[in-house]
Amino acid sequence: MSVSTGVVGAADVLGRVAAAVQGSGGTVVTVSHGIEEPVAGPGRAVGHAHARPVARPSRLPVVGSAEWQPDLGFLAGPIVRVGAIGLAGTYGSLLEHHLRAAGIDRVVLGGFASELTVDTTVRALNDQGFECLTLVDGCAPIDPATGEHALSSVTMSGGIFGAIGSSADLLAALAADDGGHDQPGPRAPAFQETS
Amino acid sequence: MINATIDAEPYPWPYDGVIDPARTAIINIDWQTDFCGPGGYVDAMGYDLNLTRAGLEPTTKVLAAVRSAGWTVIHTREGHRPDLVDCPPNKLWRSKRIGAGIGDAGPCGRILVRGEPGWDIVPEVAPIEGEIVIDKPGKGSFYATDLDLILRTRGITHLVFTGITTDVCVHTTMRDANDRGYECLLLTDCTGATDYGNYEAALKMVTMQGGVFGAIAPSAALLSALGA
Repeated sequence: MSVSTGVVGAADVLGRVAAAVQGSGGTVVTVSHGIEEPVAGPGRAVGHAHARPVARPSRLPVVGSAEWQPDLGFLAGPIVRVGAIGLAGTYGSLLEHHLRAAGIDRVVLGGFASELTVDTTVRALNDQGFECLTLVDGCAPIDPATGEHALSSVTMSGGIFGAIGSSADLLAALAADDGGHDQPGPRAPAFQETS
Repeated sequence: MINATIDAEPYPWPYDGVIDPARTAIINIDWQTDFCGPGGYVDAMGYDLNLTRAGLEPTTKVLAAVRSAGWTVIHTREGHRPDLVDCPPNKLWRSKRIGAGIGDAGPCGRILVRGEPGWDIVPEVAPIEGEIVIDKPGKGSFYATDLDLILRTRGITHLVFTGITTDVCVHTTMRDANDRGYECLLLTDCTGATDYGNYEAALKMVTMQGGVFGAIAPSAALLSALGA
């Protein structure tokens, strides 16, 4: 599978996938850089006990504040919005909490950038036991070559970080769903982007 | 303490210009028979063992140098409890599907099971008395382990990585460590992957955006900085 759609193309794909997931009773989650609460701390660029030290200082917007990443225009309907302080969407974030609380064990991921934040989040969720599908055409890489290898790594050893697939196959599977939702909220595409 | 940096990419490592043995650890990832020995898990899946064994010799030299310099030395092992209660069902299913089922009998004992011969660290880079060994159920070395607690307790802030495989367990651990604020360096000739292209790409990913996950350097650059 070799599709590099760029950020605009990936966003378009994710918008359609998110609508279909919502229509089939699934959950849509977005993750962007952000910090849950401001805690002043001496000598730190970011006032948080687990924030990275001064090596690569960054200012993270507070989740829910005006500075935080605004709503993504291509997504509609109910969205669970999560802020993460790490490149992993699971680090310094409530992502795992939201997924566990909703009884979600399968996660479809896309976003920007494929080989950095998306890949890092997939690795973390996979170790935590979530069954992950990375959407090839729902991801945009910074560099097409490293983006390809990030997808390749997922598939090593029979799917070491889960599987990769296309939005067309996912949408077809959702359309074929008989609508029986005895176990609500089985799917949660998480759109992730860097800021 | 050495006021020196290692000639690394994309920046001279570490960022603060100090290599302090009291604050620096080397983490040797998963140098187990299952990943680089005949009859192990990676061998059972049909991958070329030369790719995952290539880093062994340079790693032995690095280990000798950092032991002599007084660094903290840590080893990790991926493996599951004999009853597999800590093995996620999807991980188990995938391994069986590719013909190397976790817990199944193989030439080196039960695959990826703690205590089996295949799970042992290979003799070339085996831990010596007093070194720390972390047993992990996943790819990353932080999830469901006491690694972070141990590093914080010892005051470790800087991490140097060797091990296998580059794009899987090494990268997952390095990304985790970087998010947690550790200053990370990956030794390029002390690591390998089951796919050479993925190895090269994994190295490049570290250096993106000015060092998004830290830095990379050949072991010779580290040995030179240590005067070894």
